[in-house]
Amino acid sequence: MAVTPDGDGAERDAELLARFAAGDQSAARALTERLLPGALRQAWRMLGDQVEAEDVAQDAMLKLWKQASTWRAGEAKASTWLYRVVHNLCIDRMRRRRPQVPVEDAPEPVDPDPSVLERMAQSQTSAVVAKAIGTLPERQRQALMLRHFEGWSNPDIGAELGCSVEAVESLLARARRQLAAIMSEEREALGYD
Amino acid sequence: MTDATQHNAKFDLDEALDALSRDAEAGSPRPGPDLVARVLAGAAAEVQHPLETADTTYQAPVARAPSVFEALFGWTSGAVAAMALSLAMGVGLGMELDPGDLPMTEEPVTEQFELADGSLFNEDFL
Repeated sequence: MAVTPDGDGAERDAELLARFAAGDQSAARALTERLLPGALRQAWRMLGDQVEAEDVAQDAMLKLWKQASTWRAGEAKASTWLYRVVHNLCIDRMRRRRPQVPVEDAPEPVDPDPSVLERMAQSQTSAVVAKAIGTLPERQRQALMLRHFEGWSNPDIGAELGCSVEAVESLLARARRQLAAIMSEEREALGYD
Repeated sequence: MTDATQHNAKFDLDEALDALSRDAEAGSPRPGPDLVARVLAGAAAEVQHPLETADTTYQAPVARAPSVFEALFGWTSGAVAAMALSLAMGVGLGMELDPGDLPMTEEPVTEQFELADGSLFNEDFL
């Protein structure tokens, strides 16, 4: 499961960052074990390419090492900070993939790429749900992904999306309603009552 | 692909999302030893203590042997002591050579010194 930005985890990450900044290499190993899998998974879902995802995850972790000496515990959670860095690095790579389109004309890259999610679905139902998620508006999809796939809390999602907890709850409720509506149309084909 | 049509159960959105989340978790790559090693190498490069890297970036000036005064009193005290010693020697020499003893003649100065103070410029001294 992803490293979630829960309270204890965030405190542990901050403590490890402080130890790393003081020269403790074992803290770097612990942070790598905690944060690298989530960073790689996020990059993979956005890019759909393992080599590129590994490069992004490595770059993001390097930025975290560089940030450690000036890290201010309590101001940001390492996991959410890393999520944002991975997101931006992936967006940069996705934009570079389409050099023939001027940046201002190019549509905003999707996070995550629904086609990647569909490829990972192991059942027909999961494939339909993944496809349905791809039809959600961008912010609803982001909120849903962070809640159900990354295990984030609503306050952390709000901090990431720049909105209140109530707005997050509203985004999630609308996303679920839309998914339920789509799935009700597919229910019979999938064999549900 | 396992198909839900076999179950004829009630559709549950939360269950469906959980199942997709598990699929995504299982289908996502995990960091291999090579990636972990690269990340840790980056950490090791970043955590280098400044004193450990100083040898390659900073050359300390070559140490010179301190003088006796510097060794005894430090370089500032040594410098002051050296100046004081020079001054004392100068005063001592001035007291030895009383200008009143020098006659105002056309004789060479050296000879006048010899005449004025044999103790300083006599053959034994020179």
